[in-house]
Amino acid sequence: MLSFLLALVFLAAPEVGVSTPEALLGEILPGLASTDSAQIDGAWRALERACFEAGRPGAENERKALSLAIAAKLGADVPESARVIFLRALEIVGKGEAVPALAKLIAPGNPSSIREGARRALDTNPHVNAKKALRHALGQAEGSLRVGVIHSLGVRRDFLATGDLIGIAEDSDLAAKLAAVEALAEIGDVSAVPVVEEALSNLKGPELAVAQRAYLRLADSLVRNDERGQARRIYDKAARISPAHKAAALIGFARAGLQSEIERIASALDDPDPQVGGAAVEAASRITGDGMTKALLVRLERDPSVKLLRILARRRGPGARAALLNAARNTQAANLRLEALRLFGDFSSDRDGRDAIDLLLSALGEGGEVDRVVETTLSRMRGPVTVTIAEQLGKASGDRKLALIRVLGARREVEGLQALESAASDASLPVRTAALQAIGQVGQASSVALLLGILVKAGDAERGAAIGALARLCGDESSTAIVAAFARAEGADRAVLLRVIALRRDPGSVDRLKKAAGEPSSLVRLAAIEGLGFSNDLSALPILLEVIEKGTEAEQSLALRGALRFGDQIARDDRSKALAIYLKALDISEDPKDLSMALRGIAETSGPENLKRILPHLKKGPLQREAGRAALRLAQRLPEDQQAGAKEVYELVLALDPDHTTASQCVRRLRRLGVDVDLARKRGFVTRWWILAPFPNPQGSLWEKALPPESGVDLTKPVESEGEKYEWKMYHTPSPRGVIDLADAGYSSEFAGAYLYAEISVKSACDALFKMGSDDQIACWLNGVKVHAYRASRGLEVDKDTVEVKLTEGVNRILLKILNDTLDWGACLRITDRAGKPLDFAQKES
Amino acid sequence: MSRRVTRRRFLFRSAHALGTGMALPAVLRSGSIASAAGPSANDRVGIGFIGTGGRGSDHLSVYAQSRKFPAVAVCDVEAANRQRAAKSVGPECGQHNDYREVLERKDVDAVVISTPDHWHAMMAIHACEAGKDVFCEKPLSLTIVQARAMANAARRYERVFQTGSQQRSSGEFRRACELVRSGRIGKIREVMVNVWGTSKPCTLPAEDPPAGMDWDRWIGPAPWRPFNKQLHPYHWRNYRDFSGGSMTDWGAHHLDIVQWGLGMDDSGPVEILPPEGTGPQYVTYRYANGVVVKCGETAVQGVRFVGDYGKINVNRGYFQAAPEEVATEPLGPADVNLYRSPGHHEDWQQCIRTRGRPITDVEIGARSVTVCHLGNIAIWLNRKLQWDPFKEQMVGDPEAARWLDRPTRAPYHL
Repeated sequence: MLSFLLALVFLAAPEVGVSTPEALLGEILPGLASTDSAQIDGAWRALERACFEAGRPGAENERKALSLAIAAKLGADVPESARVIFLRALEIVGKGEAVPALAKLIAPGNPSSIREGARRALDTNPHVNAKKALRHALGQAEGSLRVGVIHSLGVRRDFLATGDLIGIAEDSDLAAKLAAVEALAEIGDVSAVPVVEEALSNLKGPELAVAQRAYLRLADSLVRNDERGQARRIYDKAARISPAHKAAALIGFARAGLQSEIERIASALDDPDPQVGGAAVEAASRITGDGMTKALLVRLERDPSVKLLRILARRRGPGARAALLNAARNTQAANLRLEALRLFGDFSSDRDGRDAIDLLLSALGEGGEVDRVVETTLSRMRGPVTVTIAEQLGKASGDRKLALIRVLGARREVEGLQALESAASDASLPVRTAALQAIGQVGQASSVALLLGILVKAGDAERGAAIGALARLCGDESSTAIVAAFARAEGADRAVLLRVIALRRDPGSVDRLKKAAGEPSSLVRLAAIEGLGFSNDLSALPILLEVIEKGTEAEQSLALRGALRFGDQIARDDRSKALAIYLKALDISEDPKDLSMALRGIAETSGPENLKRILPHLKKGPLQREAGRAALRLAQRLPEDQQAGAKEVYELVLALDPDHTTASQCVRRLRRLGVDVDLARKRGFVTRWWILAPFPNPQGSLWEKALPPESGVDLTKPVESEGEKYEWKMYHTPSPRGVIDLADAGYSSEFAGAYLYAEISVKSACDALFKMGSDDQIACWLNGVKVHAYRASRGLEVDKDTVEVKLTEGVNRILLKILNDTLDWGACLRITDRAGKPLDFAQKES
Repeated sequence: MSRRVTRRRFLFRSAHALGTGMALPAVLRSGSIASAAGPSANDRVGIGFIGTGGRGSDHLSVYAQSRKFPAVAVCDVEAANRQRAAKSVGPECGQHNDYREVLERKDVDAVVISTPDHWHAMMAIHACEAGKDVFCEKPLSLTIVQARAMANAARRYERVFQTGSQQRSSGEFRRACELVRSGRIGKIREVMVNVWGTSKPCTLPAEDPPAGMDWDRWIGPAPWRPFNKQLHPYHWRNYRDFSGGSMTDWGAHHLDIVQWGLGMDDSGPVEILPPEGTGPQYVTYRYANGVVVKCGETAVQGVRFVGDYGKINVNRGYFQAAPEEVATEPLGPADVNLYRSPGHHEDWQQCIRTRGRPITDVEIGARSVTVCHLGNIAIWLNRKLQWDPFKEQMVGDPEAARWLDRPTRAPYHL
C-alpha cells in the first residue's frame, strides 16, 4: 500500500497534494463537478493519472483500492457530471469489486447517462460478474440501452446469455432483434444457427444485410469454438447469397482450414466475378495442408497459368518447388517459364533446392530476357547459392562466365571470393575486369594483396577496375596495406596508389596528397593534384592555386578542375578569389566541363565588366545555354546608359532557345525596353490576363466563397471585399510556357486567392480543349459557366488538367480562380483544338 | 575468412544478407496475382464520399469531374458541407446524411471516407460488407482492435482498400526506404521521428450546434457529449474519444515510413517506453531486431534513419543522405526495389481495375496505426509496454490491454 500512496503523492502533488485514494477523489471531486472546463480538465487528468498508475502490473491492491474508492463516489449525492467521469475511470481500472456498484447504476431509476456509463464500464470489466450484471440488466433495460447491453454481451461472448438472446431475436423491437442476432453470431453457440437462419428468411433490405453479415460472423465464431462442421454448412449456404458472400465464404473455408472445400476454392479461381476470383486466390494461398497444393498442381498440369504458379510460390513447400521446376524445364510458353525462373528468387536454396540452382544455371546463357531474369534470381535467391555459383565459375566461359561473376558480385558474399580471385587471373580481359569489380563489391580486406599486385602490373582497363575495387575494400587493414604499398612504390605505381588513397578518403589521406604534390615524379604530382581537387578539404585550395600559376600544362589543367570545385565553397566569403579562378579557367581551359563551371561561377560573382569575356561562348556548342544564362545575368547588371547593349544581349540569348527561366527573364527585360515578345502565344497559351488579387484565403476558406467576379466581371470597376478595395491589373506573362507566376507578378502568396480574367476571340464557334495547370487550387469559368474545378494542394504543371469546352463565335470570357496555401502560386491555360493543336485566337490586349 | 562488417563494406553492399526475406512482401504484392480479373479500363466506377469537410473536399475535387471514376454521392452530417460538395459535382449527385444510404446505392462502387477518426472503422467495415472498395483517410482507426477488424473485413470481402497515408506514393520516401532496406547505411540502429502530441479527455462546455448539423450522428459510436465549436470542424483531434492527436494524425505518415523502411509492414515493435524527464519528450519503440525508434520532439525533419555507417533523413520534399555516396550508386538486382505507386489516388484507381493491393493496403495501414496507438498508450499509462506483434497482444499488462479497444455508444456496434 505504501508504494501506492507514494505514487499518488508523486503523481497528484502538483495539483492536489493528497495521499490516499479517498482523499484524492475528495480533492478532485469539486473539479469534476465544476462547470469550468479548465477545472474539469485538471481534475479528470489527475483521476486518470491515478488510474493509469494504479493499473500497472503488480499493483493489484492499489488498483482495487482505487476502484473501490471510485465506486463509493457513485452515489446520488455526487453530481451526475462527476459520476459520468468516475464511470469512465472504472472503464480503465474496474474489476469484480466495482461490479455491485455498476449493477445498481445500470438499473432503472438512474439517469440515462449514468446507466449508459455503467454499461460501458461493465463492457470492459473483465470479471465474470460483469457478464452476470449485464445479463441481469437485459431484462430491465429498454431502448438504445437495451441494444447496448445486448451488444456488450456479444462483445463479452457470454454463452450464458444465449438463451435470453435467442428470445430477443424473436422480439418485435427490430433494433433489439438485430442486435441479438449479431450478439449471437459473436458468441457462436450452435443453438443460434436456426435463429440467425430464420432472421435471414424474414428480414429485408438493410436489416437483411445485417443478418447476412451476422451469418458469416456466426460461422467464424463456430470455427473458433471448434464447430467446423456447422461453420462449413453456413459458409456453404452463404456462398449462394451473392458473389460477395461467395468471396467471403471462400476466405472462411480457408481460415477454417476446411480441406473438404479445396476443390471448390480451386474451381473458384476461374470464376468470372473478380471479387470471387480474387478471394479464391487469397483462399488458395492461405489454406493450410498439402491438399491445396496437390489440387493446384493438377490444374497446372491441365491448364498452366502464371496465376497458378504465383499461388504455388506463395504456398511454398516441396510441391510448389517441383511445380516451378517443371514449368521452368518443360513448358513451351515463354511467359510461364520466365515467371517460374523469376519465382525461384522467392525461395531459399536449401539442401532440396540444388535442382533449382542447377536449372537456373543451365538456363543462363540462353540470352535475352531469360539471362536477365536468371541473373536477377540468382542474385537475390537466399541460401547457399554462392558456393554453387563459385564452383561453376571455373567451368564457365564467355558471357556465361561474365554473368556468374556479376551474380557473385551482387551477392557480396565472402564464399564467392576465392572463385572471383581466380577469375581475376583469367586469360580474358573482360573476365579479369569484371572479376576485379566483383571483388570490390564483396569488399573483403583479404583481397588487398591480390588487388595491389594487379595494380602494379596490369593494363589500363584492369588497373581502373583494381583501383575501384581497392577503394571499396573494408577495414583498417586494407587502408594500412595500401598506405604501406604506397610508401614502397615508385613512379607510376606510386601515382596509381595515390589515386586509391584519394578515393578511399581515409583519415590522413589529404595530408598524404599534399605531401605528394611536391614529389619529383610528375605522375605522382598529377595524381596528388587530382586527389586534392576531389578532397572537399579547403586546405587543399592554396596548393591548387599555386599549381595553376606555376605548374605544367597538365598540372594546371587538373588543379584548375579541382579549384573550380572549390569555387562555390569560397564564393560567398571571398567573391574576388572565386571570380579569379573562374576567369582563369576561361583563359586557360578548353574543356567544356571546366568552362561550364566557370561560366556558372562568373554569373554568380562578376559585374558586367566581364560580359565581353562571355559573349564569345554564345556561339553554337555545348556551352551555349550556360553562356546565355551568364550573359543575361551580367547584362542585367549594366547601368541605365548601356541598356542598348543589354537589349542586344537579351535578343541574342533569346535566339539561342534558352531554358524557361532564362527565356522568361529575357522577355521581361525586352518588354521593359519596349520590345514586345510573346513566345507562349505560338503554343496556344493565353498570355494576357487581368488579375484581381490578393484576397485573404484563411484555411482555404475562399474556395467556398463566391466573390463578385464569379457573377460578372467589369474591368473598369474596383471590387470590394471585407472592407478592402481591389482593382483589376493587366499582366502579360513573359513565360514561354504561358505561366502566370502570381508571386513573380507581385502578389503575396501565403493563403491567398486571385481572380484571373481574359477575353479571347475566335472567328467561328468551335469545340476546343482548355489545358490548365495551377498551384494550388483552380476553378475555371467560360462565358459565366463553371467548366472546371480542382481543389487540392499541388505544384504547377503545364497541361495538367484538360477540359472539353465549346467556344462561341467572337468574344469568349475566361475567368480563373486561383487559391494558394503556401509558397509559390500561379496558373496557365492553353487552348487547343480537340486534337491538341494550338487554336488560332486573338486576345484582348487592353 | 573474416566476415567482419565495416563501414565501406556497408556503403557499397546490398541488403542481400540483411533482409531479402523481409523485402519480399513489399516487392511482390499478392493481389496482383488476380490481375487479369478486374473490370476493364473503360468501366465506370462510381465513388461515394463520406465526410466532405476539409480533407473530404480535397478528395472530392479529384473526382468531381472525373468520367471514369465519377463522384455519384456525397454524405455529411452537416447539411452545408454536403450541399457544397454536391454542388461542386453537379445536380445528379446524391446527398445523404446517413452513410448507410450511400452504401446501399447500386451506383456506388467505392467510397472515400474522410470523417473524424472515431467513425473510420464502422464505416469502412460496413463498406467492405456492402461490396464497396475503400479509400480511408489516415489514421486508419481509433483503436488497435478496430484496425485489425478493418483489415479482416477487407480481406474477407476481397476489397481494394487504400489507407490515406500518401507519403508511400512520394518518390523521396520510397527512395529513402529502398536505400535503408538495401543496407546502404548499414545495419539500422536508430530512427528518429519528429511527431509529438497526444489527445486528452474532452471537457468542453455545451454550445448550440450550427443549423443543419446532425450532432448525434457526428458523435456516432463515441461517448456522448454536446456540441462545441472546438470539436467541429477542426480540433476534434485534440480529444481522445475522437482521435489519438498528432501521434496518430502525423504518426500515420511518419511512423508508417518507419515501418516501411524497416521492412516491418507485417510486424511492429516489441517494447514501447514512455517519455522520460523534462527535456525533449519522445516515445521509444524497440523492435525485435534491436532497432530503436524515437518518436517525439526530436530535432529532425520528418524521419531520420541512422545506420552503422550513415544517415538518411527524409521528409516531404526533402531528402538528405550522409555520406552522399550511399544515395548515388544505383540499386542493383539484389537490392530492395519497392513498388512504385503512380500517385495515391491513381494507385487506388488502378488497383480497383486490376484487383491488386494498393501501396498502403489496409493491412499496412493497420500495422502503422497500431504503432501510433501503442505510443499513445505508453504516454497515457506512463509505463513501459511489452507488445507481441505476431499475436497483436499486450504482454503481461492486462490493464494496458484494455486500451486495445473501447466500448461503443449504444446502440452503435462494430
